[in-house]
Amino acid sequence: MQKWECTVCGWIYDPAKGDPSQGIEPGTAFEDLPDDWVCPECGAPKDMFQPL
Amino acid sequence: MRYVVVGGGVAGVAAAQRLRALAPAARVILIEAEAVPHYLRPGLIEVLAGEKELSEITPYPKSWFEKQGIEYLLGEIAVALEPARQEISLASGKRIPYEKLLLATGAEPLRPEIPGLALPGVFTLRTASDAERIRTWAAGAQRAVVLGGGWLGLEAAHALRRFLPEVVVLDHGPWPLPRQLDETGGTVLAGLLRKKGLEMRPNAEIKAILGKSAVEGVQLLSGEFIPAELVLIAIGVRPRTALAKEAGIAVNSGILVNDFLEASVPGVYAAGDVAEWRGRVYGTVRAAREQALVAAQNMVEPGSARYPGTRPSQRLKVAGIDLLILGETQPKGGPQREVRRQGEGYYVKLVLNDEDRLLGAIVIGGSDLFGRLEELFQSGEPIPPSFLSSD
Ligand SMILES: Cc1cc2nc3c(=O)[nH]c(=O)nc-3n(C[C@H](O)[C@H](O)[C@H](O)COP(=O)(O)OP(=O)(O)OC[C@H]3O[C@@H](n4cnc5c(N)ncnc54)[C@H](O)[C@@H]3O)c2cc1C
Ligand SMILES: [Zn+2]
Repeated sequence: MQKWECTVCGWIYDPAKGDPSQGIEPGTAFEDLPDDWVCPECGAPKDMFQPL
Repeated sequence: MRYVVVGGGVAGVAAAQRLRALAPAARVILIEAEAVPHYLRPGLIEVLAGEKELSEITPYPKSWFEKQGIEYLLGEIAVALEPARQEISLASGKRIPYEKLLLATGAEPLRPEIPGLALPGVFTLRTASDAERIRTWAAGAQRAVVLGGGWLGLEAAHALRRFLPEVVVLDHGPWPLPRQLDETGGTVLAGLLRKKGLEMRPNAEIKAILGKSAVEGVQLLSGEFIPAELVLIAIGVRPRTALAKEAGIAVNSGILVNDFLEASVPGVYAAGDVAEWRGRVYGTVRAAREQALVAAQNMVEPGSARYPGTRPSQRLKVAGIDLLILGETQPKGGPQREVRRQGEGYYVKLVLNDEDRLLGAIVIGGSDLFGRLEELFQSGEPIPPSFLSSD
């Protein structure tokens, strides 16, 4: 599945891992993240990410 | 209900958003001293380097907050808090009553007690205007001194080095990132930083910043003088607790909070870099956000959420160098042992128990190993022998 990178801090969202810190299950595609999900390292919202 | 949040950094903004979502009928008021809308503080490193504009690290315009129904008081400084009257006073003279209050005033840079701090050309880095003022000043500089070899000092030094020919990092410790790295790791990292063009000066005690009308350099205790037209102080931060302290709220290093992120006075909460929870002030975005969300939950429904602590991030990037730091990095004796591999710009140290299970690790310059080690650390499976021998 497509990985996405935060344009502010470089953190990478890997759908295989999800984001347990915000209750996101492994296997969740970036597109399916809720709108209020943000980069766990810097707080950037979804629209500040780009596909890797 | 009337919720007031003081401080519009990552903690304050996350809390205001969450309060809005949980209590659609309530008033949510966010007070922020800076005049610009909330930006992502980690992005300031790239603003300093000249690689991003402030707008590129600003996630939402002011109007976005208003559309959400968050009353956003920008450029307003809270100067006093009166818990007995449940009221905040602003520098502009306004008074803001609250029913529940979140203090999210963050932290401010520490300054050493040395002469010369007030000279033009001496800076700290915390805000967007700091980053812009440093850039403007640096346009006329050749050589910068960064005081402090912690994470922020190294990042800032690396950013300055992108447009200044000489950047010296002075640190009183023997190697950079002493809290995260052991001596060998620190030495390997210092070597990599030198390759990136930073002049690393460990074991340096600064005595004074010197200059007539502006900075001309720094004087070390050893007597040595290091010329520089710009000095950036990055020796750490301290929680901005004045508002709470003057209001009689219990403060140690930060504002003391319980597991519900409540301060010592009813109806007052704290989150982020200003909060001290179980003896800990985290100083990270991740912890600030996690605390803010728990605080907001409890402001709406008291006692409904406990903060479990924030797991420290394991991957660090400093000055473009990837580091992985897992678990216990110093063997505690007994049946523990360590395995090291080391090369040019490369260091792996694994701390194992007697069944070869991974208790901790430091990896510098080997990011291909990161994923596998994290998995082994989490699963607790023994490290395969092939992993220990292969190169
Ligand atoms: C250059 C830089 C890079 C960083 N990079 C990272 C990183 O990559 N990862 C990471 O985890 N952390 C990083 N940090 C640390 C991180 O920025 C902080 O942990 C985080 O910002 C804490 O959020 P906060 O909301 O608690 O405080 P802050 O972000 O400090 O926000 C507090 C806000 O409150 C306002 N305020 C204070 N007092 C008052 C008052 N009396 N009235 C009104 N408003 C007030 C301030 O103006 C400020 O906007 C970095 C810090 C810096 C300076
Ligand atoms: Zn990010």
